[in-house]
Amino acid sequence: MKRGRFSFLLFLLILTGPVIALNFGGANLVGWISERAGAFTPQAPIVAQEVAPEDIPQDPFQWLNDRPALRDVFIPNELTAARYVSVEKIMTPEALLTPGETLPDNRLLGLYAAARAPAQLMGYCADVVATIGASCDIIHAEARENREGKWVMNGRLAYIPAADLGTPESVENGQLISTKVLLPFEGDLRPANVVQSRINMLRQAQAACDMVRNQLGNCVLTQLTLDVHELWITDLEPLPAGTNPQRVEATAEFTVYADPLEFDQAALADLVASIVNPT
Amino acid sequence: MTNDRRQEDFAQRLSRISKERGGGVEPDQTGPARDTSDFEYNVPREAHPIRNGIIWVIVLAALGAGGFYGWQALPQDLKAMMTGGDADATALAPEDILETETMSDQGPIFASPAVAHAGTDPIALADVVTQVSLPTENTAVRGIIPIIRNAQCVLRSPAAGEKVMGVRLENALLPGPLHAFSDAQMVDQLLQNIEAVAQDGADPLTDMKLSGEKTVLDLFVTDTSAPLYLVLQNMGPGIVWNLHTVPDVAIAHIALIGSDFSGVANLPVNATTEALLVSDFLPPHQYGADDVPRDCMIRPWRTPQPDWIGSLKSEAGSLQYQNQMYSYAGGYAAYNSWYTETLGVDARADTVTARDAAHVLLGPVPQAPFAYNSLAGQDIHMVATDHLMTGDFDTRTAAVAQLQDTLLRAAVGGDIGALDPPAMERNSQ
Repeated sequence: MKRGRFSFLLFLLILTGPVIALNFGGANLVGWISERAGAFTPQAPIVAQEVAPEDIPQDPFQWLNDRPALRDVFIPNELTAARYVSVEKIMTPEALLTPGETLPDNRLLGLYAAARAPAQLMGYCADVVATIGASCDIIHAEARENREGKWVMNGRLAYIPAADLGTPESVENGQLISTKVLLPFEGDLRPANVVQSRINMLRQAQAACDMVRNQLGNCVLTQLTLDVHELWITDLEPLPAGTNPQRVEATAEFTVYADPLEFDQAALADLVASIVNPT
Repeated sequence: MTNDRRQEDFAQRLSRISKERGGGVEPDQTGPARDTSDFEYNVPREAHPIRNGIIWVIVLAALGAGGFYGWQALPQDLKAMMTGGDADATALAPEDILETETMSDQGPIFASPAVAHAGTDPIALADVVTQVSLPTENTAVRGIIPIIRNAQCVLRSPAAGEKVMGVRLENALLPGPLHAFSDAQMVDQLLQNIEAVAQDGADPLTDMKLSGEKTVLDLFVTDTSAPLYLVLQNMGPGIVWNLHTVPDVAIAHIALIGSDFSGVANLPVNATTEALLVSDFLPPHQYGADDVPRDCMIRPWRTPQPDWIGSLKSEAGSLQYQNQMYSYAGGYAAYNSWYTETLGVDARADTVTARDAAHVLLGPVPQAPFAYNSLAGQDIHMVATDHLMTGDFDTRTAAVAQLQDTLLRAAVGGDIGALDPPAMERNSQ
């Protein structure tokens, strides 16, 4: 009797199992299997070396193929949209012009700002290659007029990291895990928007990423956002009329490749917070 | 409650042995009467209706849920095959309902030689006209006569006895021999070009688009029942409406309503013209902005029809198309309100609508095809703007490119290459 019931339950399981697996796993089941198969590709380098003829050049980043998101973060010799410094520049209409140039008609100012934004923002690449980047290029630029009649230019500077990215290829069952953190600054006021402040922030972010890499084996500074704020008044000092000192603050995004069962996003956030704000 | 029947089994066995040996030992009859079953083992068992019911409910619910989601996941054609039904459009998922060469998500497309008209039977260009000489982008016209567009949001009222007829569409499909654009349009085009380079990686030298190319639509008019007041409306790039009339057609007045600079060719001698430019009275379209009737709501929306792909997608559950069709219907209602108040007739009355067309017939299909009016050598009565250019295509496009290039260089500050500066390397510092 018990055997009969067990057989019936087994029959039901056999009947419903594939249906449930197909519906709730669906294409993901196939994708999961593919991912698992792909994940094991770099697990057999010895066999591959034994079989491959010596005169066929090996792509050192073969393991990144077919994983575009991972590749964009960890490819060490290409500019990608996954690693960038976001910059901002606020300019008066007069500042848009070159010496000797006269202001165009008002209806053309937007065109002038948009057309000059790439070159204006490209200047920040000097800060990037002086600190975190081996190479830097602008991949996005736009301009808009703010309420004060100034032109706000926003851009993204893609960069190739100068630092070592670690050894993500040694991670099994890994996923990209990211966290963002506001970089701390001294005093009550954000730092002035000058070259030295930006370079300090870039170095601060890279140093934090280096410490993460020392602990986890890999780390990429995937975003650093430099937000510019214009102050009209301060409590600390009277400002001459018409001067609006620009201040900058930085938010950094760190990305690691890790097994989420061993190290999840919350753990990364805690680690980064403890590194960036040690006190 | 227990399922242990060992004592009962033992009593049964004892009774059977006793009977075989001729003894009189009976199994214990003092326990409660139980339902028994001979299922396979001839062994009595307890009935558990509530427990079994719950188990069955769970099993059936799992099967039902799995079956439901599995059915949803099956391809439409496979479902149709399994059910023996047709995989018709109403049963398809929105993404499986595709536009065709003759029907878009926003209405029908009448490419030449098809002729759009008020009826349902398809008619071709040869049914309407003979001696056809379609315009090309190099057709030589005589000249451009500017139409000064209305400064106020008013139209001449139809006179007593005049019949209002209309065409309302998005795009004309015949190539045109002119460019027309304003300085503001050129600036907008340059901004789009700059964004394409600075945001999407387009090439600053080879991917620049030019402003102002216009297209042509053949408008055949065969209604002789009354002097006609034609309302020619479109939402896309400007159109040159090339008129062709049978004898006895009297066109009294033509009102152009559109989002761009349009014109009329082969204009009858006594016909008057006027034009309303949408952007003179309405801001650029934003979702929902046109849904409420208001003064001068002159953006010429078309009301969705059931055969539009957009309507079918909406019916199939696409939220995007439900919103879009809702907005179209609201925009049309607001436009119709203005139209009816201004012209005294409903915006659907004696009006042919399509998304795109090359040829449109207003009136009955003629008994015999009549002569086609070529655009060649004709004046184009065009809504005036900053730049109106005729001539062969290469000359016009070179002139437009020169204008845009001059302005773009001024905007960049010299070198157009500054739109896409080279990458900076660490060792190049």
